[in-house]
Amino acid sequence: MSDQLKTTFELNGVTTTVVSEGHVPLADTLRHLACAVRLGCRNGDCGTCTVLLENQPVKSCLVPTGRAAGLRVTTLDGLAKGDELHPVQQSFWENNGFQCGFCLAGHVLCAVALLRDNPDPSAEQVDDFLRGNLCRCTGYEQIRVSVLAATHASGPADSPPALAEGQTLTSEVSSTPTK
Amino acid sequence: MTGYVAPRSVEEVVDILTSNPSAVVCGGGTMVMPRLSSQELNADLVVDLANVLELRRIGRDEDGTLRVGAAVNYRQLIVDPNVTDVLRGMARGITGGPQIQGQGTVGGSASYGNPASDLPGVLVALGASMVTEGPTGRRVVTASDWFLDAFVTPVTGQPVLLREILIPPREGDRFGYRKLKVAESSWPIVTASARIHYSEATDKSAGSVTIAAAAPTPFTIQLGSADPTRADLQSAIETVAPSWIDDEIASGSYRAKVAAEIARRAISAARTEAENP
Repeated sequence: MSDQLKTTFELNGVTTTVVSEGHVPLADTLRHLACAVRLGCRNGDCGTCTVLLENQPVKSCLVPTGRAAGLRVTTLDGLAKGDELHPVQQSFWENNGFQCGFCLAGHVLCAVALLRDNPDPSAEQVDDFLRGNLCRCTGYEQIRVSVLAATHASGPADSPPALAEGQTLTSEVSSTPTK
Repeated sequence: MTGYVAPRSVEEVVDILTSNPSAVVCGGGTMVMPRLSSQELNADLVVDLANVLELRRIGRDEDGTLRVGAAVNYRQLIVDPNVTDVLRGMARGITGGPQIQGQGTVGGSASYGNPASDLPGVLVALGASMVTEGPTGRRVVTASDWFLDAFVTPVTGQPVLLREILIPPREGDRFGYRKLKVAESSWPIVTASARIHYSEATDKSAGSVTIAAAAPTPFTIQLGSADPTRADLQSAIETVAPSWIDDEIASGSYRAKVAAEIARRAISAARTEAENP
């Protein structure tokens, strides 16, 4: 059995193949591919590494890279269409939904997932859906405002390709950084 | 170097575990992946259960027994119509948001035996049985015998896989679950799972409450009535004399003081909640 694991998945619409060790979390693999994925706690607590796996929000520090094989992965990079922000991104921008920005990708991707399944959530439903994401700047109020303001503007979570269709990325993740 | 395999059957998983003593099973990943990242745990091989589809099923037998596959996640518990309300309520309230509801698995939580998890106490209160598969075959262990110590269960360090969890029919019993935690992102300090049974013969209700997250393993106290006072509960708990967990979230003496109140709330929920048939 080879210890080098080859995993092919669809990253923001682009077929991507990575080589890694079996214990490397998807979060590290995506960072190696220069995606807008941040790592906070590496423990499933903070939510900043959230990505969409088959349109469901997951904390990518908890996902072994091999599990992504054959699946669609959406990161923050996959939301905007060129210079045009995704409606949820635009709403966070307009409503001061972030300060330092460290938690932003996780909050935006969770909000995208929420609005896809529930286009008109109550404030309580927004709070409930975002409770897996920690923010230490905003006090959450403007995040809630941003999601509620995006309610009627949000498009589908289907993300446009970040690179040209059919283009293949290949990368190698050799080690896992530790805490 | 650490390898990775995603087998498709329970038998394959057991074979791999038997021939690779340093393999680690990854259910949802919520427990194992952080420990691998921090190198608290080192493994030659990660055995991912994601492709063992039979472990992701929920079903109900003709006699009413609920069968929950070990890799069923909390979101499935929330949406599956077969799942009882107390399990659904517990799954809705776990720490970590919708991500962890989709990622954490019941088998992972039960196998890891973290005393602070929501699931162990609920399984004990429900009278669940755990079905394991190992090199010597299948074994059934009751939930009350499953949690041996903090982070120790019959699968710990063994080439044995938890296959499914069986939950017997309720037979008219009512359940309630309550917990105490200091912040949304915190582990529970105390959980209480109450079970109340009404007897037509005596026209009286009695029951039990299982307290967890406060001691290394869940413990159950019997209730003389369905409406005990907090003082009644306090003295019943003192009779058990649990060895309270003393950690950074709460001291042992704090847990000893609040357990009775959380138990009272769980009993009250079991008695009154309309959605609890």
